[in-house]
Amino acid sequence: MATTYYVDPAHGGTDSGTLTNPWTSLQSAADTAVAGDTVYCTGTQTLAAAIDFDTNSGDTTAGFIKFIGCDASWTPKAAQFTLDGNSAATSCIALTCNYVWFESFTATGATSNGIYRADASSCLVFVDCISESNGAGGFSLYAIQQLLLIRCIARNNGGHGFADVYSNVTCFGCYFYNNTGMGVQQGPGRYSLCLLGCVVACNGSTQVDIGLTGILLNCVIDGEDDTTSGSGVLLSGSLTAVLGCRITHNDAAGKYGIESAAAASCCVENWNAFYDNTTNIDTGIESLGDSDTSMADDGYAARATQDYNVATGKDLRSVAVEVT
Amino acid sequence: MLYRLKQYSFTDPDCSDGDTFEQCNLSQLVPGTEICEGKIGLTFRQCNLVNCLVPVGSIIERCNTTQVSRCSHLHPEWVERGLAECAVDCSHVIEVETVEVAGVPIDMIYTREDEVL
Repeated sequence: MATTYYVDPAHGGTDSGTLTNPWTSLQSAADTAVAGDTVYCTGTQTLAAAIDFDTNSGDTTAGFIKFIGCDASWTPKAAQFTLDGNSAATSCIALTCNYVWFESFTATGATSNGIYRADASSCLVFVDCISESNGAGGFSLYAIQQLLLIRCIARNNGGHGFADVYSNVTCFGCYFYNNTGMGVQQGPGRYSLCLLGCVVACNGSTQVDIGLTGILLNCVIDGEDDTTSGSGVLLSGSLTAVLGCRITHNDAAGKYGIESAAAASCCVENWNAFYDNTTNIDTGIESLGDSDTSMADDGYAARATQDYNVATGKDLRSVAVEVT
Repeated sequence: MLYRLKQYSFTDPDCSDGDTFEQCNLSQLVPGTEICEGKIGLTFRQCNLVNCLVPVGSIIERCNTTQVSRCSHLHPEWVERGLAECAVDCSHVIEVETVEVAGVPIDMIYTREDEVL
């Protein structure tokens, strides 16, 4: 039978994971909850070391183990549960688990990666999670397959926003911006990354580096005028498609709106809208259909404040989902 | 002036006395890099200040102030941004494995990590 547990780092007194006596550390919950259980978490936990999710996993019978942020009244998803690395913990979350679900969690202040794959893991879901201001990557999830990020944010991290993306990964409505490295970094040899309705903007290097059989659909890919050194999209693998995206301000010398690595082949783009890229489309990428892809301006409502909605009266091609 | 949600990685922001940075990425390549030198009354709130040295007297609220020595073997793309190239046996090496065939060493595999200072 599924059990519900509670975590509140500010709680004083007995500490048993119940509603009246919640655990003060998420580690207790991570060590106790099993498949089908739900853990509600409220407040902020300051860390000296990462929370290790290396004891229990969910499964396909009882379901995920769910960890859900709440407000002080335990209303699920009404507030973020924050793990603060406090410039001391290497990571906030270290993963060695399967079928685990995180919702309304924030990981910040780690000296290295905010959310990190420590060892073999798969089938993880992050909903409305934020990984910000960590020393290295926001989400660093090497070799995790069957990974789903919904409305997540990786921003202001000292490395890539989403680093070491492996295979069979889907990001829907996510926001990767202001990271020092790339926004999303997959690279060659990995496959099936789908970015749907995401904003990838103002990262220091290439915005998105996508591998084999990947697809970018209805995304905003926007470089930063002064600090971006890479292309908007780098197609590192073959059989990739960039469709219905708004690709703007990727104006670093010698770079592209969409760049094709030498080894990539059979890559296509269509229905994309371009503005202020050094070169919109690299050679070797097949453009289908729409031949008039350049816009008169970027059309964003307020790019300076990261508002990538399209302003009234502007070119409506390629409108990505906004995440706030 | 309030600077919010700005990307200043590897650059020194052009700011004035009394300015506030909120949720900005000011992370620098090399530990101890001075930013906003000579300015007074600055506030940094929820910013990434990795490898930054901010002016004395600045207010720092919920920022990441880690100082980290980065390895060029792990971040080759940052060499062109000014990261010094590390030697093969640099200080970031945490493990060395010797690969042998029939007892003869043929290769060395290095495992490296950025070093938090």
